[in-house]
Amino acid sequence: MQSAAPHEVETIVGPSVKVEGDFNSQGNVLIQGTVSGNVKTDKYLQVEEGAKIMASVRADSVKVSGEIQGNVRAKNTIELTPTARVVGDIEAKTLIIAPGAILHGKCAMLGSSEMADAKSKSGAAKRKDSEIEYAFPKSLVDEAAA
Amino acid sequence: MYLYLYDAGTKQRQYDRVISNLETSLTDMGIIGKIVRMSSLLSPKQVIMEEIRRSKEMKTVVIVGDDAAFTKMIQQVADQPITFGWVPVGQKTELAERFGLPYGAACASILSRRRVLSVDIGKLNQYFFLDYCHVPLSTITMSLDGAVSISAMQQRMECHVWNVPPQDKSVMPHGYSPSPFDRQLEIVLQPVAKRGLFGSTMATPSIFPFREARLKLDKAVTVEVDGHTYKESHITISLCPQQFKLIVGRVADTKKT
Repeated sequence: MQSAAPHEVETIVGPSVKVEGDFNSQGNVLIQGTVSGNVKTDKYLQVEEGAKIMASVRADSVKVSGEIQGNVRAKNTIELTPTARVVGDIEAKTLIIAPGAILHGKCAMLGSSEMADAKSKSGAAKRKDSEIEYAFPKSLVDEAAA
Repeated sequence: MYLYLYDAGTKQRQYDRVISNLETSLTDMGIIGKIVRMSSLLSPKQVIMEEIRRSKEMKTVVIVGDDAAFTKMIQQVADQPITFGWVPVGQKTELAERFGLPYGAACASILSRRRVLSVDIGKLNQYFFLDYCHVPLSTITMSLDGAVSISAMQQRMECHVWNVPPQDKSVMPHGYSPSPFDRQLEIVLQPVAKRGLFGSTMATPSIFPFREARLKLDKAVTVEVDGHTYKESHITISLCPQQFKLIVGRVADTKKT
């Protein structure tokens, strides 16, 4: 068996086990079997080759070598290895996709919305500056028109 | 006030000297109390309840005996609001060692130091367990904490629940180490991978932390609870977190995860 090193695993869903229902954990989770239900953990989740999750996944970091049919969201890193197959949207701070990995879905980077906000804010500030710099006083405009 | 319950096994001649040394040490340390010599006719629960009724000051029960005697007695009384002590005397005292309790009279100093820890204790149906319980290979479907249902692909599996790390850690899968202080139990499932003419091949084990597990079995099986066997058809395994107060010696793992 491939171990989930360097992480100390708290929950292991073995290859001959089927889990149904929403699965919540506070520790590291290693999935080698089938899970039909949402998987949520505060720590690290590893989906090994041959494993299958049929619902959404939330974790601190995720490494996928098996199959996920659902959205994947990680606070930190999502790593898709060459055998990974994800059908769903993924969202992470750092995304690693190895050649051969299959992803059918949208990607969003956590923190990118903050960056977009910051950009639009700086743009608005520039526009305001230009108005101040190039606007003529109303009296002058009126005089010119006359 | 201390109540000492001597297991029937300690009546054997070979333990006379150990018991006499123990009593001397207890007297020296001023922690001698009432002694009840147990027999198969006496129920530890009845004895303890009777002593609590008689004296409100009776708050510590010390069991003198080996692993089997201690675990057998606490199976009935672990939920009582008292502090337990344990003086290991007898054939097998390996569980006591894991709680830092030395053999015989040497344990008197541990009792007098009175370092009390609240320990998690498990319960299989009506039987409390400190160490482990085991459900043999059978057709099982289970629900964990009322949220997740687990079954084996080949239907049959065996289950182990550990509360205290065993001395031989190589028996634990994936280097997993249970703790009696982490406010959770872990169930290790060992499903059958293939069934053949010459027996079954076991698959890679699974581990799930839980607080309550309900197991549905196709027929009654003989379960093992801290080494004692019972025949059960419906099984509920639950955690009584930090409920068992035990006087311990030096215990390495008291972390709360």
